[in-house]
Amino acid sequence: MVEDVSRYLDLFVVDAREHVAAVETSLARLESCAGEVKGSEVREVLDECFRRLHSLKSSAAIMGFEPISTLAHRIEDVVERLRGRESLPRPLLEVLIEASSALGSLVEQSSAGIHTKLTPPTSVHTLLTAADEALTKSDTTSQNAGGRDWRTAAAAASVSGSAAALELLPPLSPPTSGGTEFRSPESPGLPGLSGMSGAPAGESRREGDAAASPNHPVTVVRVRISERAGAPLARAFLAKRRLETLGTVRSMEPSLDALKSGECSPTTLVSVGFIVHLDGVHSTEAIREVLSRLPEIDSVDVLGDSPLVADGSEEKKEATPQPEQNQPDRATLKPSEQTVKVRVELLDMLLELAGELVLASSRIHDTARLVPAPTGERLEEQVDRLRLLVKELNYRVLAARQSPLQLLADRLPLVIRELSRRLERKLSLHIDGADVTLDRGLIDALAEPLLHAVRNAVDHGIEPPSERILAGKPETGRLWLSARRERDRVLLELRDDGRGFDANRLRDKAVRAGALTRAQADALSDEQALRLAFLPGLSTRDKVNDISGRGVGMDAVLQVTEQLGGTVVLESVPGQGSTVRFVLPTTVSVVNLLLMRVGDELLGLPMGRVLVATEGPGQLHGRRTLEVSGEEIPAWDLGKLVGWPVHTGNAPRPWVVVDADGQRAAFGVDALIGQEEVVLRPLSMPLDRIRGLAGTAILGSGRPVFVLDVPRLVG
Amino acid sequence: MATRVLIVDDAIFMRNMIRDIFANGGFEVIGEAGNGLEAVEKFRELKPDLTTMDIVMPFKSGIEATREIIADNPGAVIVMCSALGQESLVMEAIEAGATDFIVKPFREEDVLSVVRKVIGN
Repeated sequence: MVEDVSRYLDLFVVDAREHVAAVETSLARLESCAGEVKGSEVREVLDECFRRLHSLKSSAAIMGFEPISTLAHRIEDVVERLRGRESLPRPLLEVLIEASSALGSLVEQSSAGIHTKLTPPTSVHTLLTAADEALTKSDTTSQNAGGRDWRTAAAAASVSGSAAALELLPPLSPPTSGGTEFRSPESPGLPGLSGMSGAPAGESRREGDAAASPNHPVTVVRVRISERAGAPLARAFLAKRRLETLGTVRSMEPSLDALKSGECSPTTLVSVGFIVHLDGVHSTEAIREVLSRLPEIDSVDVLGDSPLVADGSEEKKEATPQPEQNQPDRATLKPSEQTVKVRVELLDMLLELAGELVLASSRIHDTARLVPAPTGERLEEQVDRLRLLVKELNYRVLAARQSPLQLLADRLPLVIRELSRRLERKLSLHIDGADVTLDRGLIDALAEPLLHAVRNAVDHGIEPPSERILAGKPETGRLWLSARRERDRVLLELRDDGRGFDANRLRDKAVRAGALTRAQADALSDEQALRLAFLPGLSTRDKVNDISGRGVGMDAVLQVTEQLGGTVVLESVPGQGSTVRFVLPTTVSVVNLLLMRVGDELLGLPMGRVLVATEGPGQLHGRRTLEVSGEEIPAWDLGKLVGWPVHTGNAPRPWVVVDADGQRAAFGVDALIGQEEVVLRPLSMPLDRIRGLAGTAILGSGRPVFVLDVPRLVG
Repeated sequence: MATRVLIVDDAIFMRNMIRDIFANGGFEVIGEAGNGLEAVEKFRELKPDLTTMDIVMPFKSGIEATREIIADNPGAVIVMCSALGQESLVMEAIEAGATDFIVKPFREEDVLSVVRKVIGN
């Protein structure tokens, strides 16, 4: 895994601001001196600037903010050339101040996120080029001329822009557009979408890059999918293909991969839509025309065509107004980019309110349908709009709660070092997928179980170095932590290459602890015996130690994870290692439900669990599986499973195939009713004891519905 | 002239339902097929204006059938009938050349509005 630098962003921004502020203060101090600045003070100031710029240049490069490092580098160049001089002429000072100010703007832009596309200040680059050229000229003509030529040029440039400077200063190399980037007006604002873009992070152009021809136009199109769409991801996919008939799609947000893998939220496609950067300039009519035969499209907006590279005359067309003015107004940039710490409880409250709003607007929507036309139609239209806004609000509150797993992973290296020292093991830890995000509440709650699993793996699993060598293993015990997203779940795996769980030992322990009789224990398969590790009070460690051997471990891990709506699975190969797999929901709050009728009742199934809904036989006639796409899948009459009247009749009926954490199952129901997004409410005592129920939800109609917890229902 | 439709689905129940929907909507159903193999044959024989195609079917999937039909008839209009939760299969079908799709369980007006849009009515 390439080291993810995004977690250093805050540090970088703090640091960079300090550097820029120091440069600006120093230069301003010089500027406040009357007349030309001379002597040692100049030297001191320039040294300080040089040091600061140099430092900023390197850190920006590490962070991948090429426009910042390029600009810092260019200012540094000019400063470097000035260091040997006796005096610092005022117009040049002004150029430097303006350039540092632009640098500051870029730093502020960068604080929005690691993937922020920075808009480099073309005019400042031109000014710097002019200054540079003038310095060269004055170097070759006369050392003591005071830079008369460039002074005029730079003065002209700072007044009337780059064109004047260009005229005054032949021969000039073309302005270096070091890092001129296309930035769509929409792209930074989408929650959860930034960083998913298929566009390479650095679309920046380098000097002399032949492939990047000037004026490479792109049309930015936003398409929103209708709320009624049964398969919004596939709808977006089809729309993108239609757009491709007009020109190459340069990038898409959310990315094509996110669509195909199902990672992208259908709600986003409805409320925010997806954005495509299409090669070439296309009229709104042309774009609407290619999409005209596509149903379930809510709106098509052309957000404008943005030249990838603006030449001097086209600068005004650049999507972002930064920073062409002499004094970029940084204060206006700051508020949107600053972060505020918010208590998780407050977010919970917001989320709950947003959830209630979704329900309330759904109810208004249903009522609006009863109002006769034409008022009814208009009302319905407006309520639809309201619902979209509310959904977007909901989505954004949810997004605000998402945090990267990095927060958890960051704690591990310390723990590993400590364990390694105390247990005298050699250990290495490899972390993968730390950028996967989870609800903040889940991350906090997961810290203990995960740390415990790590301690457990090192203490019980990883052998002492001598034992490992005897077993033909590398001396250093290895641990892998990996996370990946799978539909609506996150799989968090902790794997080690230690000795693995000993099924026999677990059987013995269970017998000794009185949990099982000998016969019962022996009847267990190894896989079943592994689950004994989750029994309270059972520890395979003979001696209690302060690392993990008190037997309050794995049962607590399981309990906490189940409370979070997840499960834990153990896998082990004796002698080769073990894996603890946490299967977690990404969020606990809003779910898209498939509503099914069973008897007279409604039941909801989280859509994230549904693989296929298909027609099947009315009765299983004693069989326990159902053939779906040539595969035999364990099948249940859902009514029977939840203890309601059993379905009678032989007419074909719907079967829903679900994913129960890797295992598939088919449920026979009486009818499929539809889909609805709901706020999932956890069950209160004593209902939470019922296995197979994930919670309840109130439908838009006000009707309550039980939501099934698939893995526990069939497990 | 009414649009001529070929219905492909392995469930008789589904075929009947779709046939009724099209009949009500003023379309002419000219044939039916119960699997992908039959679909390809029927298409060759009937050259329909519009084909509705189930995705998961015995012998040959709707995606395979679509690919074969499109290879010989690039202009064929094929609307996939997908079940809920089959979005990735739908995308595969689109890559194979399907024109559009509808999602089961569907309502009569949904089917007709999609189909009319697709054929440009």
